[in-house]
Amino acid sequence: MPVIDGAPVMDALAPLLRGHGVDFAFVHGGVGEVRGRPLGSVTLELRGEEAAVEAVAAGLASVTGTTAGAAAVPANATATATASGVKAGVR
Amino acid sequence: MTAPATPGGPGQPVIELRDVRKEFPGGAMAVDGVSLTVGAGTVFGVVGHSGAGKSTLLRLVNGLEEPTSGSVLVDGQDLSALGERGLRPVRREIGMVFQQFNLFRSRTVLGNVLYPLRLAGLDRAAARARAEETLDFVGLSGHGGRYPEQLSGGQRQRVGIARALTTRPKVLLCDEATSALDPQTTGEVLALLRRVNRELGVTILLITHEMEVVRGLCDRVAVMEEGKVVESGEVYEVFARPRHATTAAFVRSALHSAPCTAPRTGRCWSGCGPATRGGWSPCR
Repeated sequence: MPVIDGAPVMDALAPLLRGHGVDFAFVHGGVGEVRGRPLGSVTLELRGEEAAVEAVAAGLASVTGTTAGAAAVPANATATATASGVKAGVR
Repeated sequence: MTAPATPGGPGQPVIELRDVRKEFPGGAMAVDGVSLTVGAGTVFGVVGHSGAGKSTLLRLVNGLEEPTSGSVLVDGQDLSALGERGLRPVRREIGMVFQQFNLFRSRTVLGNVLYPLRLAGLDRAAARARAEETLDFVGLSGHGGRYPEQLSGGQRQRVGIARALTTRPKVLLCDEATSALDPQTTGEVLALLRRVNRELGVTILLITHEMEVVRGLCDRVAVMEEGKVVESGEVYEVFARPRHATTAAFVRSALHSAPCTAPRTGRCWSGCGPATRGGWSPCR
C-alpha cells in the first residue's frame, strides 16, 4: 500500500480488515521523507478466507492505486498488497 | 508545436527555455523541444540518464551552446539576441559548479576563489576580503593557502562552490556536482547547496542522474529522456505519483520501499532488474 501524505488508503485499512474478518502481517515496509513529508509503501500479507481477502484487496484498490495479488487462495493462503502492480501472492 | 512550459516555482522567472531545440552536426538532436521555467529562489533539478540531453541543456543556459531553434532567457534577457560582449554581464550572474571541480591545480584555494573576482575587475584588497568571506561561508576558512591536491574531494567541491559564489551570482548551475563524491560527502555538499539557496537566495539549476540528489535538495524536478522533458513538477508530487515509466524507475531507485518479488513470482515489481540473462538481482 502506498504511504502518501494526504492519501486515504491507511484510513481505509482498519475498517476493511475488521469488516471482512481478515488478519494481516507486515511483509515489508519502506517509508521515508521527501521534502519533509512521509512517502513510501508497506506490503502486507492478508490472512483469511479467500473471498474475504479478495474483498479487502479490492477495497484497498478502490481507495487508491494500491494493488493486490488476491488470486484464488485457500483459507490459509495469503495475498500480498503492494504499491506497484498486481501480482500473485499465493504460496 | 511549442511544448507546454514546465512551471518553475513561485518566484519570478530567472531561467526560461522556450521550445528549445539543439541539433548537432550529423543530426543528433540533443535537446528536443524543451520548455521550462525556473523561478527565483527555486532549486530546480533536471534528472536523466547519460545522453538524455541534460548537459547540453545546461550549456544552453550559460550561453556555451546556441539553440538551433527556440530561445533561452536568463533574467529576462534572450541569450540568442546578445553577442559575446552582451553575454559577459549575463554570465557574471551565473555561477557554475562542475562534477570534476575544474580547479586550477597550480593555484592555492584562495587563488582559485580570487580568480573570477580579479577577472571582474575588483581591486586586490576587496577581492581578497570577498574571497575569504566566501571561503568562510563554505566552511574552508583557514584553508586558503592549501593547494587542491591537498584537499579531499568534498573540500575541493566546496572550493568549486566558493569560486562559483564569490561573484555573488543570482543563479548557480550545478553539473553533476555530487557524482564524484561518496554518499556522506554528497550529503555535506547538498547541505551546503541548501544553505546557498536559503541564506543567499541563489536560484539553483542542477542536473543529475541521481534521484537521491533531487529528493534531498530540489523543490521542482524535470525528467529528461532522449532530449525531451517527459515529466516535471513539484518534487513530492513527482515522487508520490510518477506518470512516466522513466520517472517511476528513477523514483524506485531513490525510495526502495517495495520488496523484491522475483524469488516468488519470477518478476520483480519493485524495480530491480535482471542481473544476468535468466537471473534476477536482489533488490537493494
